Amino acid sequence: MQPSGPNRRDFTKLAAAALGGLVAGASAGADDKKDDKKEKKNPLLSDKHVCKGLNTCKGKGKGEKNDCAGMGACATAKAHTCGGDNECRGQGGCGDKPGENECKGMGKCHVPLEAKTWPKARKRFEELMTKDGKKFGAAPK
Amino acid sequence: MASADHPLDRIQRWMQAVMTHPTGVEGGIDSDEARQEIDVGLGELERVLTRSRSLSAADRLGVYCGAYYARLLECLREEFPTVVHALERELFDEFAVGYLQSYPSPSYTLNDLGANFPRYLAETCPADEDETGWAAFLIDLATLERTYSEVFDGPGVEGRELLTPERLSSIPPGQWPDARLVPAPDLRLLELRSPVHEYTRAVRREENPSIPTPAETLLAIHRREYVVRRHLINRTQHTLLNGLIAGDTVENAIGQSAEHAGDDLDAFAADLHGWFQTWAAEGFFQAVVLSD
Repeated sequence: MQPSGPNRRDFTKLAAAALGGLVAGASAGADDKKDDKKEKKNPLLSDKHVCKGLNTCKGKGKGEKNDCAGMGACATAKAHTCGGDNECRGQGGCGDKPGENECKGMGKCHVPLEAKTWPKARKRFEELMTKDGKKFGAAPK
Repeated sequence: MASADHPLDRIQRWMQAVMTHPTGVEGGIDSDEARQEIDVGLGELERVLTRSRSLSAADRLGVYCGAYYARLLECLREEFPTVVHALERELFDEFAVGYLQSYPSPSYTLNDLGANFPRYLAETCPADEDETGWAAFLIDLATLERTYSEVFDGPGVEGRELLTPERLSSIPPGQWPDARLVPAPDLRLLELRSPVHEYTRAVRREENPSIPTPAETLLAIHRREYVVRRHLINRTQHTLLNGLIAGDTVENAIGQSAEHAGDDLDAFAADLHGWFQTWAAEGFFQAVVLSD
């Protein structure tokens, strides 16, 4: 199907179908918004999602101008799952215990790594595939 | 703590340069950024920082360096929870540390921290590794989770008026084919090599999913009322949306997508009606622009 030449009339039909769908969807969307206004409040006022990380908590900084909407605390939320197929991010990057010093055991942060990580990933892959009883090919040389 | 030889702001900049250096205290002290502020070597460190009863100046500085990277790792784990699940934490941390060394945090906001993680995985992936699909799975998984973050944190259309039936009905039929739809800023398309979205969903439900079988997976991801949503789409829909997002006219976008749609015109017209209905209701488009 092409939008020109002998199929032009066909294309007009397709475009009309698209526009008809848009109108129907826009109507439905408008109705949903009316319902939303009745039933929901802005999740920024109640949702657990927070800013990620240290510096996004700008409201605690100089000037007290908070650019992070909804961040009552910079570290309250863990990842959580919304119903259905939605992906409710919800989680902040600050973790549960902001300011907690996790230096202990983190020495590897400062050791330049050698390029050995992907082979370990391959090992992990083989473990998972074996656990699932799936076949897999030999590791590439 | 501070030596009277150096003003506080200079010590702060020096300390930041040392703390954020990817190779740690020793490398940080010797870095150009640090030396520009305070030209001191490891052996002379106590000219700048005092030692405590139990810790040397370098050890004390190391506490801050460790805390800095610990927090960054924590943020990456939070942003990529299903990659962590797939790799397990220790191995994920190895990838994450390598990533932070290759892509140090450049921004005042940690929202940007994971932006290049999928790219890093792709760049470091052995060329022949993806034959198994495992590397592709990890890269796609990271790509999906990063996209969720960007859509969640980025601009959206909440509280704004989008397409209205009145506006659409006012479009002269002759101008519609040349019209352009303005996508919502949160609308993103992904082409993935396996249904990693099903894997992420299963992990979030605290299931223990298997690695998905490779299969072309096309997703439209957007945010509606502050909730990130995803839609599994087919190749025809992907081509159509991709064209519209790129700024193609309605005519051209439909024309491109028609190449994937088969020969049944009535069925394609019905599909288009249904797709555009869904997309308008979901808020994929915020406006329509007519040509002059």
